[in-house]
Amino acid sequence: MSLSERAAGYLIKTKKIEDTEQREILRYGAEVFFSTVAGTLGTLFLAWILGLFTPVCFMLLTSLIMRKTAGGAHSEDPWHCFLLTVISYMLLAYLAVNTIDYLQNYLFALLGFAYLIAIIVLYLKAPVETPQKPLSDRQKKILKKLSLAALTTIFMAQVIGLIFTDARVVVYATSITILWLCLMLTAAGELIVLYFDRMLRLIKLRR
Amino acid sequence: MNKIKLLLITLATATLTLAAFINAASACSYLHYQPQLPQSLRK
Repeated sequence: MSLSERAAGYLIKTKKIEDTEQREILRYGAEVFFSTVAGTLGTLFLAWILGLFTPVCFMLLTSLIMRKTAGGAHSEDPWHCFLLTVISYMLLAYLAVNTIDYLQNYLFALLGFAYLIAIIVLYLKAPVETPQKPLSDRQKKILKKLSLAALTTIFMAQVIGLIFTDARVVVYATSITILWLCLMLTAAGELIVLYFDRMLRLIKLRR
Repeated sequence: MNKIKLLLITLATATLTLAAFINAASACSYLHYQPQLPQSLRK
């Protein structure tokens, strides 16, 4: 039994919750809460070890704002999710830290390019629905508007960051994250996650 | 059961319920895993 199931079971038993709907909600809340907290803390811990804490911190924040409104491709298993998050964010942060010197004169252009691509992708694709979490038409309309507003807010924060602070790596890393999140909204992103899931399933079977 | 334990359990229950509702209202979970949304939250 997983930690989230145990925690929800304990609360249901202690609070003597008998309503089936309330029990379902609590179990779902526990699964969402623990997978999110464990994934975030695990990713931040590894980022700290690898010396990538600050960019990864802002990348996760960008991801939180974008994915909550626009959605994206998902793994079939929480462990696959954790591995995919860790691998993708570490690689993107490593790429940002090690290529910033070559691109520092073009950061405004890159920022504009990422914003333009993201606007187009969000307009066409957001919010992406998953079979595990269907969305109503009203929800879709609201989430599309919210995703475009969220993207614009991030873009403005990036521009301010680039003009008034020295956070070039963070701005660059968050721009790459926006492009990665846009990829996750497309069929190509779904394929990446699908093949990643298959690969991990094969590794598990061979053990 | 002492008062502090009861308070913590109530707080934990409220936090998990809030997490469920926030997730139900958003497009998906922010990491790459989305659990099955229960029927009671689809209304």
